[in-house]
Amino acid sequence: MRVRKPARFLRRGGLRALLVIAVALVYLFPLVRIFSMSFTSASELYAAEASILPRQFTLENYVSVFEGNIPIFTFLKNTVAMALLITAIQLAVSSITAYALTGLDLPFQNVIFVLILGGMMIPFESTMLSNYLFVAGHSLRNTYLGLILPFLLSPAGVFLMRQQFRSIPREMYEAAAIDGCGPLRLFVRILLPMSGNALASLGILSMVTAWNQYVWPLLVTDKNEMRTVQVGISMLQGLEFSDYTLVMAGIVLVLLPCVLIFIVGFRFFVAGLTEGAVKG
Amino acid sequence: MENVKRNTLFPARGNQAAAAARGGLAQFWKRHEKRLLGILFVLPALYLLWQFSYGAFFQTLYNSVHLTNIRGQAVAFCGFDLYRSLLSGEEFWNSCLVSVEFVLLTVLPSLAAALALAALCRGRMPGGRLINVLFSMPVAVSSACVTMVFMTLLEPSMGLVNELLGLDLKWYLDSELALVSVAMVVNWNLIAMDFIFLSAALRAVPVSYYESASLDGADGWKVFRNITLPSVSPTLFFLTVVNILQTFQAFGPINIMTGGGPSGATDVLSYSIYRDAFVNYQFSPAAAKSVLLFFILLGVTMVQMKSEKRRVFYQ
Repeated sequence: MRVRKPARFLRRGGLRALLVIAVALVYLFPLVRIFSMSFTSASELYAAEASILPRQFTLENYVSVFEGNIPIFTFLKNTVAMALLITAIQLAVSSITAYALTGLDLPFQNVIFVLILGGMMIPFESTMLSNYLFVAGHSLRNTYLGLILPFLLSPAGVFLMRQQFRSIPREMYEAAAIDGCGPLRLFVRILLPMSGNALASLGILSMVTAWNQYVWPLLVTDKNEMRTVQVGISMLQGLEFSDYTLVMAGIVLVLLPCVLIFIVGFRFFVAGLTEGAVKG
Repeated sequence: MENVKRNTLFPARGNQAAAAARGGLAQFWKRHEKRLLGILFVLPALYLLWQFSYGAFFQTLYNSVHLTNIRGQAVAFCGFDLYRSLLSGEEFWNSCLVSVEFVLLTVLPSLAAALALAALCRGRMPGGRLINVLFSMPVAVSSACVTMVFMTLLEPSMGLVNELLGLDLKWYLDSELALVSVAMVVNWNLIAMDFIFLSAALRAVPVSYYESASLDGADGWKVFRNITLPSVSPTLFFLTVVNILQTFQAFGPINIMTGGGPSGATDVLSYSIYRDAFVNYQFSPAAAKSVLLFFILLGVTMVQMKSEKRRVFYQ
């Protein structure tokens, strides 16, 4: 049917869609390449002439990864732990801080809020050295605590949650107070359950950012057992390792969880990014 | 423990006092619950803010006017000597120059590409949602991994790019092209982020604008110039600033791909800070550099805030 009516297909934006697909193939080529290399055997890569897709599809790289030839599962375990801890604590800290700044009786609310936002103005590089010395001085190198400490407060997260709590109508707070619901109960039972979208946005944003963290884990870990994926995988390339296909299979495993989270939470991610960055 | 002892000695009075204290505390909490809870809830954030942002920055300032030992402890005051030697040395200015070149190589191309993509994907089309997700996806792909893929693609002897395009370039091994190679990686991630913001901005433009333009028979270029561009220009401006800030902090791709080389060709400021402190263990020059970086980025942010105010004012 579609073949019979090409004119209509074109008029409805089909031509544009074809162009978009062509552009997507070029832009996303690095991702395509990771996949195709991860299914190519090392010998083919070195012997044959360049080809985009593997001539002979093979799972040997994945088998080799699962046999433990690169310590990718240790890296993954560390990254999952780090990212989950950062996300959970950021969510908790952002929401209690935002609640203190909106629904509670805190002096200097606006000053504190401006100070928190001002924290975003200080680039990571300008605090990195002192934070490193702090973590190293407390012997927290190669620990999860050391990995997560500088990221527990997210000014953008406080901003997002503050927006969210302010968007809840005043009457809600008043009605709760009249019904004898204390401020803590109001927070846990009413405000938080009403803020699912904002929490999801912040959670996915923190998760993806934490997962892809590179500089800080590089500084505070120097043992293979504590390496995170981003640092660990890029270290493999520095060794005598010329087995790129194996590394690519590892990269697929590194990217997959994060990209899946991103796709599932796409709507929330976009909302969080565009809303949280307006003030940033 | 002590309370228990007391209670056995003076049972009646002790119990009474404890009850009163308990009642008083509960009452005190009840009466000031909102204030106390507010203070309690803001404390973690204030601690983290001080320890890892403001305080850490002051520590960096302090270190930048002291000489430090190999473990980063300040041992002697040295005034502005470090700044003086930085500003009179060649290395710092090379880093500044490379950083500016790097910004030019990333911010402009990525914004242009993202704008083209967003304009291309505007409105309804078959598979539009999927396309939207696909073009946004690189924002979630780690730059460390992408750097490694680009390294295999650009590899001089057997990389796909040289072979497919029939080139014989050394890319990241060549001091002329190294910065371009790193910029490609950074752009790849930036385009997706810019795309997300720009397509969100385009979605906010009323469809009726485009409909009346097409009724008037305006061609694609005219529509782009007269509708699309003006309606995303605030977003473009905002993104320019954000991209500059991000590019100044690009570190991973440089560390993995070039290590600041060849011969300083990719030695951007953020990388040279890392090298001073964590390769050469010279913490105080690194601290001085990061203070200067702070002021550079502060300047960029100030420009944005100033012009944002003006725009709001004129509207």
